[in-house]
Amino acid sequence: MLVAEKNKATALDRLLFGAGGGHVPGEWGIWVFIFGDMTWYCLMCVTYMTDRVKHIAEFNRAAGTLHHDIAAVNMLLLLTSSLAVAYAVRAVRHGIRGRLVSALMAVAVTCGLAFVVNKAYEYQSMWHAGYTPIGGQAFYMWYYILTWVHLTHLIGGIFVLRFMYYVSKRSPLEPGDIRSMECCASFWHAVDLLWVILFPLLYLVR
Amino acid sequence: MATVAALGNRVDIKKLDDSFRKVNVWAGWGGIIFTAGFLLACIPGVSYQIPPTLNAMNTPQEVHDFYVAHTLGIQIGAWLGMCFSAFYYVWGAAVAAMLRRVENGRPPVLTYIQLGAIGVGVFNSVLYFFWMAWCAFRCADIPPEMLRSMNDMLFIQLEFEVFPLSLWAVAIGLEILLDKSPNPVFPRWCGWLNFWYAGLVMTGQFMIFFHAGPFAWNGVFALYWPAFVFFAWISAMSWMMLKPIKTDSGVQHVSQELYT
Amino acid sequence: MLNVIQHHKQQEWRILASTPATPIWFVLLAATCYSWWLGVGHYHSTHLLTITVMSIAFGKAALIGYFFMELREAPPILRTIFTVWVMVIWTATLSVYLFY
Repeated sequence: MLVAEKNKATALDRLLFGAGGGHVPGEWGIWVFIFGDMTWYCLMCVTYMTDRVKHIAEFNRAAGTLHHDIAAVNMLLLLTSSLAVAYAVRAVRHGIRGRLVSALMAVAVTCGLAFVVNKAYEYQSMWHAGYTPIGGQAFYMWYYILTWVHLTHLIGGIFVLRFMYYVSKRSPLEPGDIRSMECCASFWHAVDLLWVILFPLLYLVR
Repeated sequence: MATVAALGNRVDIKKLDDSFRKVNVWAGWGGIIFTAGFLLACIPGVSYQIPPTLNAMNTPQEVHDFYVAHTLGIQIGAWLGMCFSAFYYVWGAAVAAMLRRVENGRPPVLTYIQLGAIGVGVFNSVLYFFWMAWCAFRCADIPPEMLRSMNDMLFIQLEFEVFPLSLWAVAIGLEILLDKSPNPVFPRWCGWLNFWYAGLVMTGQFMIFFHAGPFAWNGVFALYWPAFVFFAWISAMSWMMLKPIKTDSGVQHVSQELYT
Repeated sequence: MLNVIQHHKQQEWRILASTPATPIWFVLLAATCYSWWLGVGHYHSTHLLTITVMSIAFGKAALIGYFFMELREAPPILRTIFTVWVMVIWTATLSVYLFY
């Protein structure tokens, strides 16, 4: 009985925590950056929610005018691009090089660029419909600022991916290079993760 | 290393190490003194700027009354801030000088970016206090509308300048991460800390669009968060400067004299 | 020859795909589509909807952290900070929504 329970715990543990090798993705320093960034996002989201409570009707009405479909498609794009990046890191770890890695990176960058194009269309369409950040409606101020800040992260992230691609081409690939690639990948996943939270927060919450 | 050894024949390395350490410790304290002095100049009781007594929705009369009621305190705050701002460039110049070693044998572009940015940073800090002094100087006599506008400029001066400061931190961060020497000048996480600061101080830029709310000049994202990020950054960097630096810190491949 | 290359390529893909990140990706896509389908077409406050989509979002965030960012294999301190972050932001946003 006890043994069975213990085995069960290890299985769950393995699922949640892996083999527990204690490998730092990238390096310690990148996590200072990523967690610092995420702390700020936490503050931003909570402030947004407090502001929302003050004008619930306005926020609900205004959130209905957003383009949910574009946002959801963008979410799918970012998830796919994250997976491609994760695969690319896996590939170089297993010594797989060449066109496969390039193709994965190309998929990741293309998804990122598609996100930017979608967002540009969304901004243009919102702006055209008269929903501007300085029109005096708090929701649109939040919408533009939160998405804009995320978009700047994402555009920065595309350059990071470009750098990652450049590193993946190095030959021979040294452990330091794999570490740099892990740093880049972690940043890109963080961009993905922030959109995971922003998408329902802005578009779906009522 | 060859140059270090060659240097060893001419000067006492240990003595050199010691003088380096002293210079950097002084400069590190410069950063801490600047931080403390800046905050001291702004607290309620001195110039009442952080947290600000006023906000962007105040009427001209309220701004006028505030300045008339606290003229001397504001002037003392401006004077303190002007004095303590001097330590800012002492600190910045020392960071640039320490990281110059990383670019030994490379074009020192990142170091020169820092030198330019120090000017911009001090401009940010010192002109803030100059505007403060200007607002207080003739506050009873100037039209309240004008005084309110001058007071807005005070905060634009303080908070709107973000990207020039960010690039400074990016230059520092890149230099720290490029430091592949056996004995780095700063630990690598300091480089990432610089990027963190560079990215997140930027929320202040939205303050020119809003008169109220969290992005207005007295709001969380224009004043408190950038202030927190800035002081966390300068304190951490100063703290790291108090640690001893060695003669060969950051020196990777010596193709020229170490101290040029 | 072509066969060998084909076989080699398949094997490379198998190596890449044999990670929990692959099924997790499908889960994430499904969760996104579910939230999308749930969330469209509402103009008034609905607590159930909000709690569901926010919980899904933070579940997704945790999955991305654990499996894509590889925090599940990272030293416990990183994992703990991340988990605490997800819990804090989840509790904070929902508490503000429900009780503020």
